[in-house]
Amino acid sequence: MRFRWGLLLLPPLALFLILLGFSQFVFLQSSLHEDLGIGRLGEAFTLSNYAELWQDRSYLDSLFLTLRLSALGVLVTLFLSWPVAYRLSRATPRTSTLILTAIVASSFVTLPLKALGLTILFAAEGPLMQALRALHLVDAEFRFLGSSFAVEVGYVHLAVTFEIMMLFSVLQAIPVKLEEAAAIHGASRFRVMWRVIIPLSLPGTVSASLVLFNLLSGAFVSAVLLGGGKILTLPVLIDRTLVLYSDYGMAATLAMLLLALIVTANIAAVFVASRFNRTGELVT
Amino acid sequence: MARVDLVKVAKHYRDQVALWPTDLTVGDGEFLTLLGPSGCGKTTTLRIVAGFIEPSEGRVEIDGEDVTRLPPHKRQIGNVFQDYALFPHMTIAENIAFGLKERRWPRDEIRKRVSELLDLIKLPAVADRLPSQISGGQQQRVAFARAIAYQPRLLLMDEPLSALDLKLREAMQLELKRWQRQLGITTIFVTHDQTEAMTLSDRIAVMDQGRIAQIGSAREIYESPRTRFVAEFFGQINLAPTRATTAGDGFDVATIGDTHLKARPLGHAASGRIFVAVRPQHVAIAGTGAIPDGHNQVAAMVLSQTYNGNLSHIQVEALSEIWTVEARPNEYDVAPGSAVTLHWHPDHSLLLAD
Repeated sequence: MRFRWGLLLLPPLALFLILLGFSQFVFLQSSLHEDLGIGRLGEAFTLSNYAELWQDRSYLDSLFLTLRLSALGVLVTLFLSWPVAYRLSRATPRTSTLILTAIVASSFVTLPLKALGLTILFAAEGPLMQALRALHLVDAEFRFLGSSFAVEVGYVHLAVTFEIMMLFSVLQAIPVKLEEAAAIHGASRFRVMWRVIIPLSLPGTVSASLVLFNLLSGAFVSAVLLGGGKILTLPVLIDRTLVLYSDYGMAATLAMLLLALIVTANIAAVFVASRFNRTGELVT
Repeated sequence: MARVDLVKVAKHYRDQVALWPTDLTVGDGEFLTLLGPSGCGKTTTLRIVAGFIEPSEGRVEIDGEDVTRLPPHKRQIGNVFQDYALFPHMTIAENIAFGLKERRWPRDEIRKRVSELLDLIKLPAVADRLPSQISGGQQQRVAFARAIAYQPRLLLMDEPLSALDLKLREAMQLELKRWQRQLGITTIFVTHDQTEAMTLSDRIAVMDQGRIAQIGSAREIYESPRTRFVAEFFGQINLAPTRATTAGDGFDVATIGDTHLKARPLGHAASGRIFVAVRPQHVAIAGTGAIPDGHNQVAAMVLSQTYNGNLSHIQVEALSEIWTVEARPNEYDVAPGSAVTLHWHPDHSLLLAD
């Protein structure tokens, strides 16, 4: 009898359903009960938690902060990574292997250590901050730790290696022959980019950016360590609601809100990307 | 239309030579083929003309203008790539219009030119399809149309037919030749296929180890190859190394063991070994009749015979080499193991440098 390779998909599917589906279901269910304090939930189904999201500005502020920081993080990372990934995809295999290995090796440094490194680098009396102050880029009162700038730097620091590797595989799949064909038939370097490389890499770039957005929306370590408890993104807020107040219902509601943000952003991105036709021009 | 001059063009990578200093002129409207095995420098030469690689030495001129440092997009060249390199995200019409759009042709004129070209390549109905939706042969035609769309002064083709099956390839060869004649465009064509080179070219440059070994018309090269490499690459040939040659009356005489063979003189200075050579179709096997006066004669033993329909090939051992005699089917009734005498007119005998 022939072995059905499709069966190998079942264990990961089961794992996915149990770990992800089940926990989300628990969150959804918890979010529909009122908090009675010290971790107890009311019996009756109610939408009061969701009503509170609207009434208390701080929750929506947290949502918009998360959206803003993540989206900006994605954009900055994209602009930093794309040229690097492109250059690597066109380098000799020796060079690209060497540099990609270095990039992978940089992920040996775990997130808390990276965050710590940043706080040392941006210490108030350190040379970097002195230089920034001398250039009037920050004022005298500015403290790195606890600023949204710090969280953003942490995000980009975390994201840039992922993004380079993801974009590298996207760009490497575009044959150099196509660039040559465009060049010989009259396209300058800029036009080759605009008419061939960017449109062909667009789908891959969009999905890489979405992976990044999802990662940053849920980023906890950078936000908590570099935000110094002052930058309340949704993951930080969820943690507080759980650990400080033991409001499991509200924490579950916030988890649902985070999920909704990520799902909406993904759908919106796919929709916008599909508005561009194959040649990368906006369809009107 | 244009003339191309390569002046002492060379390319080396560190200590590896891809192309020795090479001079080459392609005349206005000429179809010149660079022919050779892989690694002979033919593609390097083509890519230097295109501007994809910069030569280490020498210069490239198009119509007397030095373009050596000019980037590809300013050279006014069309190029057909081996795997076509059509833009997968553009329709056939957009692909053909690529160079026109880069040159800011007005929209109406682009549309007119594209439909004109689609007619030329006999594919008027595929304009709105993507390259992945048409066949390999059709893609090949589209690649050609894209390359000539803006009337470039020079057309380059790098093994454009090698991905097609034999039947289609032969049909495309004739069409390419016809289009090229019709447009009168100067063309440099790269291939490793000797038959293809002969079918298409006005002149052929046979390349070997980074050098042009010989350049000339297909007939010149086939009938008067200068070296053993060219003779062997350009059709089948029987060879035997000779110890000494002496000048005779109109022919040189080559000595192999105690056999003396008359052959056309070498015509150029050569160092190293010299070979006597004769093409299989010029060799006859002596029968009951007399061997014509003045013919070269060689004793041989029949090894085997193969039948190819319109031809038959007889493998023989002669002068300690394996030779082939090409004959009509049933021309000779020779059994393997039998001793025979081979003969041919000395006009068909060549001397070749190693």
